[in-house]
Parts: sequence; C-alpha cells; structure tokens
Amino acid sequence: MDFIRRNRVFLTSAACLLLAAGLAFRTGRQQTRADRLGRFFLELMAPLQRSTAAVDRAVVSLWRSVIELVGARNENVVLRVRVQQLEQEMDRRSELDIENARLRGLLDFRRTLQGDVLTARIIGRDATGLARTLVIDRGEADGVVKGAAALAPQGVVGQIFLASRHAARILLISDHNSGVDAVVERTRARGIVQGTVDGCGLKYVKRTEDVQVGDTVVTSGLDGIFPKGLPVGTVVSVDKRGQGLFQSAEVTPRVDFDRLEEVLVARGSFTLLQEAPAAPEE
Amino acid sequence: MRSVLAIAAAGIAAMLLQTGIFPALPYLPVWPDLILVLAGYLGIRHHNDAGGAIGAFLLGYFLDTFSGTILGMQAFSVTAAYVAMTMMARHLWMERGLPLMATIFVGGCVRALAAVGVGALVATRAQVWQHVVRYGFLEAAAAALVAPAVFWWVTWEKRLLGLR
Repeated sequence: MDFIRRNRVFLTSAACLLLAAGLAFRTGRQQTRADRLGRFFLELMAPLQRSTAAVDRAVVSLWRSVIELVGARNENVVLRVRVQQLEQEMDRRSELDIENARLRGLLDFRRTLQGDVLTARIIGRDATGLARTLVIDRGEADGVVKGAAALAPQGVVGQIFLASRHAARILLISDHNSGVDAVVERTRARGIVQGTVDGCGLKYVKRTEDVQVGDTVVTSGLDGIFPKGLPVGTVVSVDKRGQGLFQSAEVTPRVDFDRLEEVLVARGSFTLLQEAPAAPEE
Repeated sequence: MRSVLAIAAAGIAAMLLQTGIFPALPYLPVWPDLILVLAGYLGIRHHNDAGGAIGAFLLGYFLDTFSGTILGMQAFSVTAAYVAMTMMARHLWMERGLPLMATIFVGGCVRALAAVGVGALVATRAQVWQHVVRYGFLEAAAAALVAPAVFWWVTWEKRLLGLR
C-alpha cells in the first residue's frame, strides 16, 4: 500500500501510457476513427475555431492593409487620405472579386458532378506538422460521414476521417496515411498516390509502364471513394532505381492545400458528368 | 477543480492557437507545441500529484483529435514527455528561466522520440521519423522558448480563479 502511495504518479503515468499505446495499436492501421471523446472535443472546439478563423481572416486583412499603407507615407495628407480610401475600396473589391471567382469556380465544378455534394468552409488545420489534415465547418448534421470524398475545383483534396455533429476532419491526399487509386491520364498506367514528406508520390506502378515528367495523374475510380477522372496531380520526377517490379514517381498535387478555403464534400455516391475542368490558377 | 479548469482553458486556447493562428503565420516552418508545455507545467508544478499524469494523457488525447490519424500517438508521446519532465522536476529546483526551458526542451525531445516509436510500431506508412529528424529539435526548442510565457499565463489564470 505504501509502495502504491509513494509511486502513485509513476503508476498512473504507466497506466496512461499503456492505455495510449493500446489505443494507438487499435487504430494505427485505420483511416477513420470513431472515438466519442474525440468527437466531443471536435464538437466543443468547432464554434471556437470558427470564431478564430474569422478573427484570423480579419487580422490578415488588416495586416495586408498596413503593409500596403507603408508606401504612401511620403505623400501629402490629402493625397494620403485619398489613396487610403481608394486602396481600401480596391482591397475590398479585389478581395470580393477573388472570393467571387473562387466561389464561381466551385459552383462550375459542382455542376460537373452528378450526386449530392455540399460546400464546406475550412476552419482549422492540423495542430502539428506530423500530419496533413483540415477541419471543416460541416458535420453529421449536414450529412457528412466518415469516408466521404472532399474535392476542390482543381482536383482531389482527401477524405473525411472523423466527423462530429457540426464539424469534420479531412485527411489530405498528401498525408502519409492517405492512399488514392490513380492512373496516369496519358497511358492509363495504374498506381497508388500516397502522401510523402514533401508532397505526394505515385507508387506501385509497373516498371514496364510509360510514365513521364509532366503527365497528369487522375483518379481511377476503383477505390469506391472518388469517381474516375478527377485530377490528382502532375508528375514532376520518375524514379526507376532499384531492381523491384515497380517504379515510382513524385507527384505535385493539383490542389494547393495551404491556400484552400472551401471544399466540396460528397454526401453519398457521385459521378463526374464530364471531364473535370482545367484547374484555374490560384 | 479550479486548477483543472485553468489547465482546460489554457488547453483550449493553446489548441486554437495551434490550429488557427500559428499555421496562418507566414515564414513559420515550425511552431511551439503549447500542449506539450502545458504537460510540462503539470510535470513541474504538480509532480507529486497523480492527477498530473491523467491531465497529460487527456491533453495528448485532445491533441490527437486535431493531429494525425493514429488515436493515442500524441496521448502516448505527451504522457511520456510528462514522465520525463516529472523526473527532472523531482531532482532539480526550477521555477522559471533556463532550467525550466531546458526541461521543456528535454520533454520536447522525448515527445518526438515517443512519437517516432509509436509511429514506427503501429502505422503502415508512417514517415513520422522523417519529420522528427527535420523539425523535432526545432519544435522542442520553440516550445522551450515560449514555456516561461505559458507558465506565467497558467499562473495568472489560477490567480484569477482565486487559487493563489
């Protein structure tokens, strides 16, 4: 009894470590999660993250305005005020134009899909650099379920792996736990797109297949998550070193995940009515 | 209870910073893991309290909800860091300054190694170790740098709640 009392901190720590290791072993090879505590935390944080994201956008906007004003210091007061007014108006309009173009692109892309999809706003990003995930402001209340596909007009974003009532998390295709069945558009060479440290890689492509730098990689539609023909990325290098049966290629994702602000999330199965449009430049 | 409330509030604020603010800052390759620093707070200021271990585990679990896919990886690594920092706190006198920062740095390194261990054992394609080699020490150093401020913040919260 005395031993337990004296070592209670380390005994509790050992119990916690065992519990954590057990959880990790149980969920390590799964792409989705169903822990209630995690759902509770996600739900608890969603409104706060939404507010933080709004404040963040306001601060960034303010910061940009401040930077732009530095150049006008040497001008006289009247001109400065005038320039300031014009710049503010221009910024506002430019921001609106950019947002408008982005949403129009999203809408155009939405029209190329047959099925039930909804738009979601990104309200958070991965808490550490170890993984690549996003938090969106839609959850089970909106029909978002685990395993659902997340897309952008430029191409594939990832899939939902945790959903609470009003928020969900997306596992990006650039995360090392992600895997998307894909083909090289030009030669139909098949492989799996997986996340790497620097982006994505196309792996398990037969060595005899023709893969070249600049080739576009699209979804094969065989994984049951993404429909056939959605752009994934562009091949930037091909690696045929080694003696194995396969070659691999480095792929730059079509979607710039750092600049992504909205995504489309599928509710149920969906198909592509026509080939996905060329990715608009960010 | 009020102490738990203070840590929970700090944890929520830390998570908002880590998921919303830090990633939006330009030219920031790594950012401090404030959750780790809070676990350090428990290890250093509550090293005789078994609740500290549970607190560290829950902080790690909280981090698990917003990072990665392997549930338990952060819980394990943060608890391991807590144990390391508790052991240091029992043998060294530290309240603030460099000893405190050094302890958090060691905790950060232990956390990174524990994450590599779990990642290597359970994940199929985990490349956690590559990230740790590149950024592990930088992240630990960033956490150590902000540790005094985080400790001050939690102490201020406790004072606000009438604990000290």
